Amino acid sequence: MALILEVLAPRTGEVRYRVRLDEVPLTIGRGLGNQLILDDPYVDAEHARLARCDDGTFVLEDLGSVNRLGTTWEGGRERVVLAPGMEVVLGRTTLRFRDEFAPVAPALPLQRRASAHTVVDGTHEAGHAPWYDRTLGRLALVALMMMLAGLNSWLDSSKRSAGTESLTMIIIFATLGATWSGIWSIAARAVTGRFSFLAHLTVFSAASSGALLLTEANRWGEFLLPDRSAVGVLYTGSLLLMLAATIAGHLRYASHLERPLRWRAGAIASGAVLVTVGVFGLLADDEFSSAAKFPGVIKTVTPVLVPTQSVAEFGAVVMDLRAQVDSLLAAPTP
Amino acid sequence: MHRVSRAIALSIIAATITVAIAVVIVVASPATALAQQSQPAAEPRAVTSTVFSRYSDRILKIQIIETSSNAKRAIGTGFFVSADGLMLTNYHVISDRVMEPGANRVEVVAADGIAHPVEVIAVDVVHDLAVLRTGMTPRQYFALGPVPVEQGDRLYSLGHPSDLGLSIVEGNYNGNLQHTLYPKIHFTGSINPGMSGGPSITAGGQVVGVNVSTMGEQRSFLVPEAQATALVARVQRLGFVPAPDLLAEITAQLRDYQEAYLGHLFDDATKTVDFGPFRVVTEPAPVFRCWGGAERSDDRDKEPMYNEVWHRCGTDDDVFIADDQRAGVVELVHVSLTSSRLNAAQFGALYSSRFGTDDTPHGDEKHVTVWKCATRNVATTQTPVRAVLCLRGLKRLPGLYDAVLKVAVLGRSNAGLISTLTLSGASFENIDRLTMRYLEHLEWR
Repeated sequence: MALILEVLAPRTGEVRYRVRLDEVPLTIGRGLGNQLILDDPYVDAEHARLARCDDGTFVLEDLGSVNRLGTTWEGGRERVVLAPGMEVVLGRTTLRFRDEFAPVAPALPLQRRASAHTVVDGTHEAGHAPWYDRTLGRLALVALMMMLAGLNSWLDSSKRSAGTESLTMIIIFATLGATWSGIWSIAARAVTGRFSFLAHLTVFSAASSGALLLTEANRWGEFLLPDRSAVGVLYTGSLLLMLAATIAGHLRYASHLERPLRWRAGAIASGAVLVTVGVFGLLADDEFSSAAKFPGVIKTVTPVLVPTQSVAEFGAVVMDLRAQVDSLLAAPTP
Repeated sequence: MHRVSRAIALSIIAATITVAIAVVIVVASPATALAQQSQPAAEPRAVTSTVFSRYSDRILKIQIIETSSNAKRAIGTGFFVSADGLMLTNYHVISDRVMEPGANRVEVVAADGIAHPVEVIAVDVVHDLAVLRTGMTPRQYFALGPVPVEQGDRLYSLGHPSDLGLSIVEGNYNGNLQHTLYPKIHFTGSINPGMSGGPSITAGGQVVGVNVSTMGEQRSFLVPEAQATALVARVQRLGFVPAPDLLAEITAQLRDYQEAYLGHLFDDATKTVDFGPFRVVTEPAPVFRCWGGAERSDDRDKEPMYNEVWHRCGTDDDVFIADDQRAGVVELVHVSLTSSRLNAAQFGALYSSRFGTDDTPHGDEKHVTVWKCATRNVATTQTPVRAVLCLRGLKRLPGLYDAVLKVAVLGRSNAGLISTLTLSGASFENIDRLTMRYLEHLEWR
């Protein structure tokens, strides 16, 4: 029976590499003269020696290291008799031993597009990466986001200081984006070992640009079709979809999850936001307010483009309002 | 020689002193004369005290007791108008009782300090009057009837200001106010809260009006005696039965009343006025008064980013229904925005923010429903507009609504007009008719 040694990454526990223990004895340590080299500052230059006894069992012997050998149940040992399934800790690195007959999961069908893992691992050549995974494409998206934020603020201002306001808005978006992407990057570093800051900033930029464009589209919808509740529903739906896409996008660079799982996570986050907003909305609706709510947006376009109704049709709307108010009056007052 | 010269010197001194005294007397005499002229001022003081002592026993304090705390929540004044103890006061003094009969009761505090429960048997909500049945037998009462008065006549107003005890205030009769929907006497005297419902009388004890409100600085208002006489006469008519539902009666009164002034609003003869690049409706009826103003967006030295001009027409008076609730308010506000410096999108944003501002009247949950609003782009005969109508119902006065119609002229990239029509306590028929007329007959140029 051959024993397989797996080197696990510190903290994450993912398998760094596997060695089939055919050529024993071998030495383990940080020094380059060892057969098994561990890049772990808590591991001695010559830390341990792995040998096979006459009866066929494998043993790991400490070579007088600082942190000695540890097992999952106790530390500071000098000699460990190895068996499949056992884990031994050297410094902060865990060595796991497996039987050569240990079962493995069936192979996954190949995804059509490169998965995050392979891209991150650099197994794909840069030429095959989609545009948003190339530096130029990413920078273009970031620039688009800043431009849209500035433009939006400038077109919304009637002050002499419109230019300053728009610059301020660009800085705000940039700062917000850097902070947000920074948090995602730190999370990504912990999980995948890579920061991928620009990738996260790209996701943020895409999301912000989308939100700005959607909001503007919604304003046009409210202006042109004030009587269509579908406009609002479409807007809310699009925003939620975009939120899901944003979370999925970030997870692409911050996790090893496959695409369906990433989207599921995004959908869950989106749903949670919907529920929270909905609950707050319901609670707020319970509160009496003497404020009037109506879409006040006006676009200065040629009237030819604006669908209108006749005064008589507006009269019918007023009748309908009366019915709504009367149903409120008919409802029992607390 | 010395004696003579001394005698001369003394006589010169004496003469000088005499002249000086004479001058002082002459100079001082106008003051003396003035003091003598103002002497008669003491005389009305005497009249005032006579008026007070002669008529004070006809005037009592009214208090509204909140039943759960058994403490007073409001006070006012009332006065006897008949031998069988009918008392007149303001509707607004006892409105809590009418609006929430279960939560409030009305009491009259007699001169001996004992509170007697009383019943509200009739109201005239438009003129702010109410008649109470006290069940008491007053020794004296004010007999209502026409009184000949002229502008400048001295009147005496009695009441219980801020629960400080019965007080008397002098002032002058200044005739009926102009520009009002219903008659009101202008009384230049200091009526204070709590004196509401008290009488304003002549020195001879004839009631000229009922204290109703004040604008401060000696500008106070009285309900004319004629309205009071009419209400009391209605109660004293043979076979009078108190309305079983005062709220229904108030609703009916408000409905009748608004027909008189809402009926002709915005008919074809309505005046219009040039207003920037637009032409708008103004002074829809003689009782409306219009004010205007212009606001520049910023620094005077530079060309403004935009110009904002407003034109507001309203009636000065409304009908008190309850705290936080008025009826009969008709207000028309035009705001024009023009700019040569903003681009179309920027102007659109400015226009949107002005149009989207909520300037509907406030309201209390006890009295009104929430606003229900509808927004449409409407093709009027002149120009397409964006129109918002917000409507809410009055919970205690079924059939009456508050409405705000807000209209913005569409289609220009550097000029806009926002016109707002506010109606409160109006019937739906009036609201519907007026909003439709407003949209159809407005001149937008």
